Amino acid sequence: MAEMVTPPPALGGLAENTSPAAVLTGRRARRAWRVGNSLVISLDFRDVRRLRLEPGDFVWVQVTAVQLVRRPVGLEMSIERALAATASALARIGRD
Amino acid sequence: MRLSVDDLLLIHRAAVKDLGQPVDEIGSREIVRLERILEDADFSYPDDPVGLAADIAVQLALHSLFPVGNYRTAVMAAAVIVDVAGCKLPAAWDELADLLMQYHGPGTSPGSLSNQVADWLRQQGADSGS
Repeated sequence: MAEMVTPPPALGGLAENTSPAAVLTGRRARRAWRVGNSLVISLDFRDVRRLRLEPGDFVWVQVTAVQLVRRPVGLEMSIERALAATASALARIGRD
Repeated sequence: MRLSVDDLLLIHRAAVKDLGQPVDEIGSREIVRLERILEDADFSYPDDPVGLAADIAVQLALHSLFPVGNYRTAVMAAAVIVDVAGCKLPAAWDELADLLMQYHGPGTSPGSLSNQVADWLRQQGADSGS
């Protein structure tokens, strides 16, 4: 279950040195969710709509106490769709 | 669209998840090589997600940077890049797997294979919206 928390202060500093899409995302980030060990910022479907994020935009995800990584919007969802679409091909490939 | 090495590692873990073995860490040399692959592809295809997907897939397939699942990761990376860009996700990925695995070097350059993969993606409608 996701827990709402305050976005990390580091987000602002990082966002100042990143692309316009990331700056936009960082400045507008109002909420974040802690899921397991990750702090997920504006990755919810509703926020993607509310913030008018589009494919090609990015969000910041805190993966450790000190590390933020930039992720394309919807990457996890795209991975799930790609897994479903390529299941037959992956089985055909085997371990290669 | 700029994928990071971290994104690619996420895709790799998903691609080999069903193999039932822990994902081995890769070395710093391989990380640097992955960064180079992503940078080169971004430079060559700044506004062409299909070209980007094809180039990254071919480079991943040819360079075998992971202990297992290099072709799996190549196919998955192509699918994810196309999907994240909001393009139509092809259905017949078996054909791409065959295309990548049938490459044996002589007579076909990586660039030529990349063009073949991009052509295949476009034939499958991946250059149109989802």
